[in-house]
Amino acid sequence: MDEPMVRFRHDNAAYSVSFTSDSTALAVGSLDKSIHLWSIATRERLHRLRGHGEAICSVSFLPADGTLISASLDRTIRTWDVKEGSQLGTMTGHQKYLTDMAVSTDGSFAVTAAHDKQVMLWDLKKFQHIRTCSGHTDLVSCVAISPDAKHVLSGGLDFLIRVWSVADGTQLKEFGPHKRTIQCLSFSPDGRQFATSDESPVVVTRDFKSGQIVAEFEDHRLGVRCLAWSHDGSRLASSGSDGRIVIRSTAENKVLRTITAHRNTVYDLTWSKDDRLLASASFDRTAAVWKT
Amino acid sequence: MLRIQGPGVRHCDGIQRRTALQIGSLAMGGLSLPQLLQAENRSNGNGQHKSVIMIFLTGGPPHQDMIDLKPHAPVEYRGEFQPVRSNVPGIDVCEHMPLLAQRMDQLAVVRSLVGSEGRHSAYQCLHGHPTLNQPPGGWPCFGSAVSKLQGPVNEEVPAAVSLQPRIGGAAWSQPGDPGFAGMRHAPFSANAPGSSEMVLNGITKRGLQNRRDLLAGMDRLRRKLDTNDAIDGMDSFYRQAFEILTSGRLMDALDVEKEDPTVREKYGRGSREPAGYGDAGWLRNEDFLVARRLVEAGARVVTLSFGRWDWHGQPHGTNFDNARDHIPALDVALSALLDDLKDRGLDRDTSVVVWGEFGRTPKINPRGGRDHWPQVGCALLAGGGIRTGQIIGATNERAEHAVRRPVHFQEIFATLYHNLGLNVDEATIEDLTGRPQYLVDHAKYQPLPELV
Repeated sequence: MDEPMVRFRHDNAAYSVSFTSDSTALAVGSLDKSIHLWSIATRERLHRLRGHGEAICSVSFLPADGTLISASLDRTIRTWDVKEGSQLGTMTGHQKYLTDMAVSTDGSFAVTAAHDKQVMLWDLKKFQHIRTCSGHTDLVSCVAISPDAKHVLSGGLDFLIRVWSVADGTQLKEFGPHKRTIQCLSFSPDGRQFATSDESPVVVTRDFKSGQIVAEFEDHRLGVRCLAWSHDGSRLASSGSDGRIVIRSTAENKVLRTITAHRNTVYDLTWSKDDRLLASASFDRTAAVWKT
Repeated sequence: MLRIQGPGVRHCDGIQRRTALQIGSLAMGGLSLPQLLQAENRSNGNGQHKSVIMIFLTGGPPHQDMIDLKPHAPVEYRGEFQPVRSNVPGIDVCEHMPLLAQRMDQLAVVRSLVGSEGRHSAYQCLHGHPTLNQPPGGWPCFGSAVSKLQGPVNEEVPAAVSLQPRIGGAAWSQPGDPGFAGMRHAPFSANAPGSSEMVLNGITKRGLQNRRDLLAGMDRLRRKLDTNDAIDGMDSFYRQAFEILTSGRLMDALDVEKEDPTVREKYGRGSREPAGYGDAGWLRNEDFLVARRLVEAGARVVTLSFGRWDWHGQPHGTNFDNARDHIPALDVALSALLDDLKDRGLDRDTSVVVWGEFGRTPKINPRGGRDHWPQVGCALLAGGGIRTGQIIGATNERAEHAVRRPVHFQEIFATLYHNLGLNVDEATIEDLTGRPQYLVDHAKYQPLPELV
């Protein structure tokens, strides 16, 4: 395995990662029902946030004030004061396991996906439910928000990618069907393209407006689990069940780097604000930070 | 008859009923001196007794992803793993078992385990009998039956020890019921809450002796009033509890800190955190080492549960995510145990069995999981003088059912009893009505002739 800048070990699978805005700390959501906040410089655990009753499937720092938001299989969304290590609030609405969460670029709202086949929008300022997007015929496994915050993408076990209007929650269009469950979605920073994968080793990029396939590439031995576009749009990182992270140049459409990162599926990837670091969370019970 | 059940009673020496029960179950097999001597005599002449280490893969391991891979099956069946060759020609195993692959000559692989009841329960692997229509008193678990029939090897270590940790899921939490073998034969739960505090808390051995004398006096008084056997049983409970507390041999065996660090390192450490999402046991490799230490100290049967193998898929990780987590841990721990037993010359006397309550569905479900599949499962056997380096049974091309030599759970139990020196055609234990009950349904199930 390749050596990361730092690797944080946990007692159970790591599902999700998020950098603080200054990239000095990393939040890791785990199957152990807690969130671990690690100092990247000292490698010390700053806090272990407990309160969720089930695995944490997604964590994300809000850009404005550094509040951490988490989504859990326990069907709740919670906010945390990471300086104090305390919980601020809880939102509920989903009837079954939550699977994924995305936060808008400005941090004003979040979108969640769940086993109840629903996509829900949440106001993060008023801390309340905005609306529900209904239409998926099976569980929803992933969501993404367009950079202009006008659209939401969702995909799941019905093999379809659906596009929703943030303004009114209506379905605008759908892409697919794919051959298998849609596992991951990621918008390019300019909003023109999005990348997706469906449990296969193949990543597909599509033009958002037309839905046309722009590129397909197969860089993994096993299914792709997460996709993350760098903030400057120049690189697309993918991770999979093979434990690898592959970083591609989107302009040149070539692999820049393949990292043998983990011993098990890499569930989440996130870029630091300046794109110099990439964090990964894996079922191998570790989270790691990589210099890119 | 004196019963040690009921509400929280505090005994005259301040020992709570619950504690007494716990210590009492330490003393299962709390036998008289003549019986103890008899037990010593029954152990074989070289000073090493026969024993079994049973490793329960809680939740049902995926047979087709471990030791019965089907690389030519359709993609929705065959899964993510590749087979690798072992050191025995013809036995290919999962790529995540490289260490065991090099020790396959020390293992017998059962690919056609049948007879599962299909329910999540430790009962299937600990008792070997159906849960329904039990004889009065209930079937004793394997360890309790052996304790009843063979007694302890020494007075300091119980014959049967369970390393089951406290488990959220009730079906998996039991260390094995003593059933009609009697409470004194209940396996000692070494990892039960409170057992780690089983020390002389501020009491000297002399002080303990004074309390023992007091208890002995009370028992003599009671005996004049009631000559019931159970009183004597209670006395022996206390006697062995005192022996355990004062000798420390059991506690030493449970303490891995006292092991050679290089040996300890070979087993790997694992975690004390519950595996999976919290309703099962831990994935603690050190339990394998503790099992060996217990056998060495005199235990006849040690059972442990390892991890959580009930992998239905997302959102708790796919079958393959979990397999990549658990199988390498099993590979390390079991390989270390086999090596260790061999290095210490215990391999011919100690049988090892690894199994779960059923197999898993041949077809991968839409969430990347495999569900329960009682039609067929798998088992690994080693040691105890059995013929290893062989496969018993086979499944069809999709690992759906046995197509050759189906092996029933009770045949495995019969083999283990045989290895312990118990004849399943003869050995019986009386149920609560006094009717003798055979250890297995011996008219149908015998020790596996391929192995013994």
